[in-house]
Amino acid sequence: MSQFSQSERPAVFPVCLLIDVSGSMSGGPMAAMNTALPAMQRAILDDPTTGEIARVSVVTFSDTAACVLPLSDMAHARMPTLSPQGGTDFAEGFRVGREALVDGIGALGRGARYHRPVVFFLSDGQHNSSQSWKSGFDRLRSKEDKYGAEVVSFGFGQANRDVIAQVSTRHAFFAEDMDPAVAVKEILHTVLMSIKTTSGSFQAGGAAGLTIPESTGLTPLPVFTN
Amino acid sequence: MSLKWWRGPREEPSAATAGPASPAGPSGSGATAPEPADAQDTQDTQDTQQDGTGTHDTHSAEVVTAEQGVGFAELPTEAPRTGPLSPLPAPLLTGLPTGLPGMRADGGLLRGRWIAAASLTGTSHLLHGTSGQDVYRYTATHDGSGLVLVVCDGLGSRPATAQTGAGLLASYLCEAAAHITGQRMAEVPQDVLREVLATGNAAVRRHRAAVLEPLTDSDLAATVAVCWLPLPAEGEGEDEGVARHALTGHAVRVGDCNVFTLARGRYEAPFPAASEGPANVVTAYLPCEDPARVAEYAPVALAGVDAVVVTTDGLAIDLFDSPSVRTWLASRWSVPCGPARMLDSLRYRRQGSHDDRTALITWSAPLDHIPRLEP
Repeated sequence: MSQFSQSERPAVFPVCLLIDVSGSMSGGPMAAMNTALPAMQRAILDDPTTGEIARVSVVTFSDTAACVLPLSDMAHARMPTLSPQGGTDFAEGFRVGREALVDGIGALGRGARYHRPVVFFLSDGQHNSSQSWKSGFDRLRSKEDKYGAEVVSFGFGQANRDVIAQVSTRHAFFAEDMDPAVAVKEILHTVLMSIKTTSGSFQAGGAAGLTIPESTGLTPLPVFTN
Repeated sequence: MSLKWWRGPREEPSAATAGPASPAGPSGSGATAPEPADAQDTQDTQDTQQDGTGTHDTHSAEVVTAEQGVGFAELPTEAPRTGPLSPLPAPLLTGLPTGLPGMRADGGLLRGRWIAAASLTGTSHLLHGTSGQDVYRYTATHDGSGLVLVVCDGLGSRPATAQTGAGLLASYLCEAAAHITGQRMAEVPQDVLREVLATGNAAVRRHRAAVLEPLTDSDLAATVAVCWLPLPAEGEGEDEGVARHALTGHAVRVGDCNVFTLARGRYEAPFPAASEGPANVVTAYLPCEDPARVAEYAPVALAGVDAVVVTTDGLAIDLFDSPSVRTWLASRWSVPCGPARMLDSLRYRRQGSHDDRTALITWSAPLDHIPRLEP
């Protein structure tokens, strides 16, 4: 097959927001989420180096998981309104998150150029399903898989710090002693800044990759990579 | 009272020249001042946004000037615009002492061959006030057997220092490559070019240790491509010289810089295609402990070739992935270019293409066949 594409195929940066919408997110945190997502969309579009390449999907999880926004160009997307429900099953979230990336990247077409996907995982609770989340997480982040993603995790509220650290590939954060609604706002701001700086770094020369700007409100957690 | 360099506050372009950004489109609304070429073309941009596939040329007669309120003037260009594009804010120059000039260009003869080059700092740097990191160099070997073209691309993850590494590497590689002999290239070209890489790599590391402590190798990290092209021996006719060298050049690279040949508007890439998968996994660069381990070699077939192009990845990706960019550049490079034409050739806009762009070209036509070009 020729190395030269016969159609225009700009490289894209696949991003998945994997958001806990269990019952504990009711009230302020969910309202903050629904305010922050459209603002994030506008901010992405305001930066040409981000808006022209970032493709964002939104996957929610509680007892079940759903892709509420397939991998999309923010110029043409309508951000979903999220609502809380049920318990917390990380495994379902990881499974559907990976499906969203595989389907979205696959839809770009054969030979499409893309950067390594990044999943931003947000949770205020603890996994309370009988099925283990570990195999689903390993599949999501697998470096041997061409769809394998970096996972950046954010915990707040009743989330378990150790588990939040485990569901990340390199970067995990916890919002300490913070009102949950404020924590959601701070986390999504950090996610936005990461999307922007990472997009910019892809276009500034080789070996670019995921970067997470410092946040005053979030505490980095020690991550043990393997 | 401090002196103002700008006449009053920056203004958005008027509706007559640019039109407001569509709130629903990718244009957004945060631009403080668009680049002139964008401003004059916003209506066209909106057109392309609707179908998402459009490619079209600008029209020089419509280019916005400073008098029309965008704040700075620029020369017109016919460079294409491809895909849905966002307006660009005003460029920010770097105040970094190690920063490179935002654009460099050359065009002229070296040992009877026309060489042209241009390097433009990418909009990803210009939006954030950081330095471009591409560098090009060229030389002829002391024995007159060949031309050597070198491009280096400092890694974006080292915004304060990698351009220094790229510059050092390009210079030391050219210095080492100038000692290449035609005889050795005919015998063991791969070994010779790997030796050049090793020599340049070692020189950068020595320089770092002597002058740039406490910087590390990775602070100076750059990807690189080196291409050697045969020249006819002195007193030897062009045809004889070409035959003697069996119409083959040789290239070596580390990382994702690339080499292309152009023949009647058709491109070939001597290095193998990248495998499928994520695009941003670049792990090979110089300086490093073991350059031989990360170097790739490729012969460059020159039979029937009109021009050889050595590029950094910002331009190589556009050549691989955009038919409209390929067509545009093949047209612009169909004849030997002067420096202004070379710079203009890289002024296209393409969705998602914001990296530095560098091209270093030589044409196969000997001096007698090169037309005189007006700028």
